[in-house]
Amino acid sequence: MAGVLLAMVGMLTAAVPTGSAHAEVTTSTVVGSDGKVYRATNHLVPLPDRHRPREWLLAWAGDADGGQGDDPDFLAVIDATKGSRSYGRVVNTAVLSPQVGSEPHHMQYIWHAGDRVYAGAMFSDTTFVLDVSKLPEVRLAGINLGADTPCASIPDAYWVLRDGTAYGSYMGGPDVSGPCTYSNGETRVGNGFAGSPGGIVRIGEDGRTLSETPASAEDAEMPELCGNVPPLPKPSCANPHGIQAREDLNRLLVSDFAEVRNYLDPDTVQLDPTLLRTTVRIFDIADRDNPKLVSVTALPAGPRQDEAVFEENQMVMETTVTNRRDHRGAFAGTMAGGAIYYTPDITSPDPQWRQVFDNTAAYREFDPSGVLSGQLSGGSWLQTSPDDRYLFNAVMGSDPRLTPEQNSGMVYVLDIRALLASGNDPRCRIDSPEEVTGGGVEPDCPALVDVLPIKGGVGGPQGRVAVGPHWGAMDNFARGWDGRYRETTEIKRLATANYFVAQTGIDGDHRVCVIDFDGRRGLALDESFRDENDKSPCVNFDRENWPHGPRGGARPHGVLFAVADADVR
Amino acid sequence: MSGGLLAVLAPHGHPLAAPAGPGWATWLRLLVLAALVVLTGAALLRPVAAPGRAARVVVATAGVAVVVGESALAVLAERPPAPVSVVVPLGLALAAVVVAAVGWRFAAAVGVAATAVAGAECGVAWFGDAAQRLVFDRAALLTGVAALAWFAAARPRRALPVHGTAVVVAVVVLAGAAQLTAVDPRRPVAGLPWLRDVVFGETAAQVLLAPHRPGWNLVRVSADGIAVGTDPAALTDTAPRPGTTGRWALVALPEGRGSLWLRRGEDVVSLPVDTGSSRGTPPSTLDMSTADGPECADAALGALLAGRPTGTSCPADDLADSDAEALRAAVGFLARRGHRSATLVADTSPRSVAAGEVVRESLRRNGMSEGHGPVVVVSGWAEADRALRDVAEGRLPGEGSYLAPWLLTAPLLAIPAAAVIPLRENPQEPAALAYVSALRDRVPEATATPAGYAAWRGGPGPGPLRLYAASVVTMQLSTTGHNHDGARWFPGGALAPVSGPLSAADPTPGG
Repeated sequence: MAGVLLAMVGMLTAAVPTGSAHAEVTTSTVVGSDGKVYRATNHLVPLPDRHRPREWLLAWAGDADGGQGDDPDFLAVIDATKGSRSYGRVVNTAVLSPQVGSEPHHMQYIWHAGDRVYAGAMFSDTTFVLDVSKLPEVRLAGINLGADTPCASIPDAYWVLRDGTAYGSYMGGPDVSGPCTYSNGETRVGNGFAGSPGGIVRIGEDGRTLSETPASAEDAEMPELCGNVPPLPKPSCANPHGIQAREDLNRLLVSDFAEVRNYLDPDTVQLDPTLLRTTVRIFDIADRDNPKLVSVTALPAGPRQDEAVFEENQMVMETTVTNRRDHRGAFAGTMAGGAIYYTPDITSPDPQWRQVFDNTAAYREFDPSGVLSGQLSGGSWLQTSPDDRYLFNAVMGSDPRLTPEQNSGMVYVLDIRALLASGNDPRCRIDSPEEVTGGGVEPDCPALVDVLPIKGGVGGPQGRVAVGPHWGAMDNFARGWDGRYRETTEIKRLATANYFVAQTGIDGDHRVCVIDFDGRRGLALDESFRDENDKSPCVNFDRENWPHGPRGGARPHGVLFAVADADVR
Repeated sequence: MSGGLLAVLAPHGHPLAAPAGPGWATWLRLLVLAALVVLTGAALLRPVAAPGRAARVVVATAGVAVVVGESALAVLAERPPAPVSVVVPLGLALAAVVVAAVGWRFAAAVGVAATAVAGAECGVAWFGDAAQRLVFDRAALLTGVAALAWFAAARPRRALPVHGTAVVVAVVVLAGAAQLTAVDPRRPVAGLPWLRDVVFGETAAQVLLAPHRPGWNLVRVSADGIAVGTDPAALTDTAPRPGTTGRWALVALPEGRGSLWLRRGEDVVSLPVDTGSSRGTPPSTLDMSTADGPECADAALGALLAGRPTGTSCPADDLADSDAEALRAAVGFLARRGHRSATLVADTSPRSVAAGEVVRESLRRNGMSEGHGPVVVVSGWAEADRALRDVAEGRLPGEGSYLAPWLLTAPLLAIPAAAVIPLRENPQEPAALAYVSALRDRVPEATATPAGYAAWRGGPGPGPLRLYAASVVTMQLSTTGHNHDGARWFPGGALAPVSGPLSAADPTPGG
């Protein structure tokens, strides 16, 4: 982008004990396109066996208690080396400044050795690019500011390509209302920042915008479904949230969530179902800098017969692709709907999506009373295992009609081998009340392997709605005989973070947990991954002191497993 | 404080006692009182006692303690003293300690001179306006304390005029300290807006009164269902005002001391007011009776938080040069985007009229016309609220809305009208957040406003103009969640720079 200057201008090291009395402080800086200097300041806690290869859990967090307005956003680096004496300890907080209150959100779904970390700050319309090659130290490698993506706003999630660049899903519309011309020469009329249509942004490893592509179709999209405020001349549902790609198939999938600026009718202050989205988009990415929209498909409503805003297909938060070369399918999960959908072939110009699971069935495993259901359950992180055997789903437990004591979050895992084996002719379809509560009856329907209820605190701290996890990550590393790590397709561990977005009224108890997984034994909370302060399972981000000082509680959103370059084969 | 405790304190409506401040404040008050007793006692006993060097040093040191302690207590009472009213007395008192230790024959003369200065300051405080009173009443007290320190430092001699002066100063200082600190450190001061915490049964509320002068005053309360006025039998209901939070009512206050009555249900509270007299102070030039009154009250509140005197005009009385430049820059931006016309939303305030002219002139210079297209809003908060709702609902078609800088308030930004706004600094960076934090600490329900920020910092902010996009990002599926948003300019919203530096000087005619 013309006029953009992003330069690494310095690596400074100082022994300034600003936070923890013994933390080593190092700083890296970049100059943003606005000419300002942005910093990542590490606060590294000494480790007794620092040269031992370790695995790390990264948690991207923002301030939770308001403080005096200057509590920073930071990437927490947690020792995730099972058996380590510092297992579960926050060994570094990399503070990103000078922005505060940016609402740290997602990073990429999975980190591969050598990748940079793309960390989105939703409210400041910023993407930080972080060099994690020398973990636990983190260095700022680039920054993508709001003005660097004039046709899109409100970054959500990232998918890193094999060349190290990343696609970002930007839920919101152009920075200013009116026509916006994208890097591929196409023009769309948008209704402004955090409105519609959102975009797909490709970001380089130095933070520069490589391309900006409209997520919307050239023509009006389903006016009966796609409301916009203020109205658009060509209505659009393009508000991409989840984003995953199959580079071998040249396909990129995004799921539309909602027009984030306004879920409520501005006059009636009521939920407007036409501002919640039910659509999934598939792009052809043969030209990586010019994704071409192939299909926009509205997911079908299921058999529950709910109010419109609670239908199974409402708010398509996530989509996840299959991974093996012989598989071409993908899944999508809904937040308000609490359901999982599947299409067998993402290369089809007319993909057929069908509901294959309802969160209600997972709740029945531990809630025989029937109070808990998929409606507004808060279906969130959705991820296929790299070997395409399992599908993991995190559910927040965010039905505001229930009391916090009644609500419960959960993580469940489905065995999807039969469904994927059905090829292009799956039979599974949730189309009866019995299948809502008991799972699909067709033989290729996903089989529920296990459910782990996650209910933060007693009904959630301070009465916050949502008591379970919004986000998660798979541990895609295994330790070798030499103590070093290698990537694996066999997932034995997950991490979850219990926080959504407090400003929505859906918060969480701010704990980061580790869950052990075995295909036969199922899911089990790793009780050895304990908070260093309160000694209870899971790392508690509602704490007073951090390596960067007494900054009080924080809200962890994105989580990711990673290993330093020197410790991975 | 819990509702239950509030109820015990005030079962039928009650002004809540002034916050005691941190725990050490009580000890500080005791220390100041003890030092004051030592200082004034030495002056009163001066004709009959002859303290030695050590005693003189102790007494002069007590003078230093009083100056420092009084200043700290003034800060706690949200009346931070002007630096000049502290630095000079403190310097004098410290010098007196040195003189007490080493001796100097002219020490008593310095005490007399300091007494004369304190007397002059008393005169200014008595006859001056509210702003001068704010500065000079405490300056007079502290200078009197410094004078006593010098009298204490002087070697005792048979000099009746000096003894008499010291005794008079001691009595006046005691009376002044009692009035300023002990009797009612938060007494109403004419021309200074005041904040009070009150309770009605189990409901706590904050009350802001501005400008606290004879004539129309605005009262803001933080709870619903409160009526206010000067006659408990004829109170006015408070109501929301566009662009702001809380509930508001206009109240006509007479000259001098009186009461402001507040009623919520069966609970009635009265609070003392003292608007001063027009004889000693010029009438207020702040017109709170217009639609822009809440913005003016917010400016007064910002000044109050910073310990500054209230300004002499309301923000809507004039168009600031910096705001005019911002509007020209915004129009230049529209021209460069290729727009050929824009819709102007203005009202009848002097600022808006002038801003409208600036925008029209800029449109002409850029080859644009007024009529349709992007909505440029230069009105006050009330008209802006209506216009932005029209944009959001499509009743006022346009490609987004461009707001004047004074419209950066959360209630306006929360309207989904695709607002962008030219600003000179990022409201989410430390300088602006320090104001937000100061505001939330004292008035948790209030929203940050440019008028309040400018009054708090004492002028417009620095930096190049950039366009900032603002939007609420709140999916309120939940009705029971709590939002602990802390010190943010726009709670629950996104506010991000979306342009490089803007310049109005190099418009591109015709886009």
